[in-house]
Amino acid sequence: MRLFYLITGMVIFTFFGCKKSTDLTQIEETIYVRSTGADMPVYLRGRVGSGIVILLVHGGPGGNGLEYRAGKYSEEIEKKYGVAYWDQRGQGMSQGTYKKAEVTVDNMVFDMNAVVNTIKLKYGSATKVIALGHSWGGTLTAKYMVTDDLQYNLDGWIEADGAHDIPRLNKAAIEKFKSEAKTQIALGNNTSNWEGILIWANAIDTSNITNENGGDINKKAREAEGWLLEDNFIQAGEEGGVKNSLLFGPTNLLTSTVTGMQMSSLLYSEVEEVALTNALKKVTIPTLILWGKYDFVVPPALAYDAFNTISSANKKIVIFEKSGHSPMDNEWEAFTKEVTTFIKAL
Amino acid sequence: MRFFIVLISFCTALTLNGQTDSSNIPSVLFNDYSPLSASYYGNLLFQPGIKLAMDRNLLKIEENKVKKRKTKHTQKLLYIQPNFTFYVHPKTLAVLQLNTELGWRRYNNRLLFTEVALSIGYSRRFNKGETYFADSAGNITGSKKGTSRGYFATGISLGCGGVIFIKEKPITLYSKLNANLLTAHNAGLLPEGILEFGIRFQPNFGLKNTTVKTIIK
Repeated sequence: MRLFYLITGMVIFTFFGCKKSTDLTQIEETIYVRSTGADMPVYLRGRVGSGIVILLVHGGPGGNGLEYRAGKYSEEIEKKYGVAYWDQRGQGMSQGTYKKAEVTVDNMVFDMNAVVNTIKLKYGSATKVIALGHSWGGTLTAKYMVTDDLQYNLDGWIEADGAHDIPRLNKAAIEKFKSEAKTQIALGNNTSNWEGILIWANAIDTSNITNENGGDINKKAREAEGWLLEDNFIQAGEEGGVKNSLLFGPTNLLTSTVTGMQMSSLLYSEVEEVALTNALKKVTIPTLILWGKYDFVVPPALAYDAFNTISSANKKIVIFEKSGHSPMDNEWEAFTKEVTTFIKAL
Repeated sequence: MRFFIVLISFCTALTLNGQTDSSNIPSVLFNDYSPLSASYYGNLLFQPGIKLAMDRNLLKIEENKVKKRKTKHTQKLLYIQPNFTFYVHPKTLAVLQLNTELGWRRYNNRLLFTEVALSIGYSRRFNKGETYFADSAGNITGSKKGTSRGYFATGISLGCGGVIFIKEKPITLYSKLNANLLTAHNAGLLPEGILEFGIRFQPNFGLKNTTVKTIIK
């Protein structure tokens, strides 16, 4: 019977071993937002008492909110502001029941608006909400910015390596591969690898980039970042932040991976056609555009497009010279400084 | 670390106590009452839960095979097992599941067994913390704690274990690997992997087993 008591004791200890913080100076709370068939967790962390909440819109599609907490930058940002790590519809630990036809970018914009409204309801309408979208999160936040007057629910937009125009992204990525390959070959760095990239990029018809090419761009972009990291063109990220524990964390690895893959596949064809560069003219709220110079996943050409197109009087672009697709990791100090400077000025 | 201690305890207990005299093997239908079981039910191993179940035996097959000087005695049980499970994903979800398993268990001479079971049931997943409700215009209309959603759950499990006797009372120690599939979760399916460690005991009270049909080969 001792074994039975041991098992029961372990279970009871684990169930009641957690507590919720209610101190707004450093909050740690999970809430859910129910929107059109989906229940989406929003992990509220950091100093919500500052009156400023950064809504972190994760990448993917297929990622999760808390994976953005595993970085040194998040530690610093949470000391100053509240951060809402949101698991989007069908990703992370989101649950619900809805039809495949309801998995659309428009519905996810609607979800994002519900999350913004929830934060304002929970912490007061005077709370400033700033959306920070990275990669696919940049696609989603860009769509939010140009949909009706939704942008006015936000106090600022930070686009970090955001994929707001996929057809343009694909062409720009091929051009970037070609130009960087020539530079690196001339410097004698990872020559055989870059020669392979050059041959591959030259063979692609940029007037007709297929879905298969799109997948290859992503894969080769990661490889290229690895070589540039080896040759010190990209700065290695520092350990920090709060990693979601593989087995004990709030985000169940199996759930997140499987639901994320399903979501990614459902959204794929729609996302491949999202082209918002021209529509960004509608954006008038303060905007900060942050990009890694060596981002081949979403090349910096898109950063310049966005900066030149948006109509905001308060706008700034920063290209991080030693970063790839995730400048918040590669140059976390500079990234954090730009974010805090931008927010202080709001 | 606690899990490994429990696992090692299981294995040691089975090894030390599974040495049954094959000439006097007890029936695995130990008494007239339905066996009860309690187990640790860890989603992805470490996300903790508990499972309570009751076996209803449907059919027993006994086989004796003489091989050289040894007699191999096996007992097979077809059983149905209603069960109740509760597990948590820390800081995100709590899950309540009601299942019925149909299983096939095979015991050897030493009362060590393997089993396979299919299950069908209902899973209710409760959101941690408050849930805020958005209306069709995106406005938040209110919030509530304890909000949940329900899913149809099917599963398959593979298990092994053994019977030990403490003061002549049979106690079964077992572990099971469960694979569940929830539908319609989001716009698709949700597979789950669950590892279970438990004990089954024979109460002298409770629900009486109906006569179990026994086939002797």
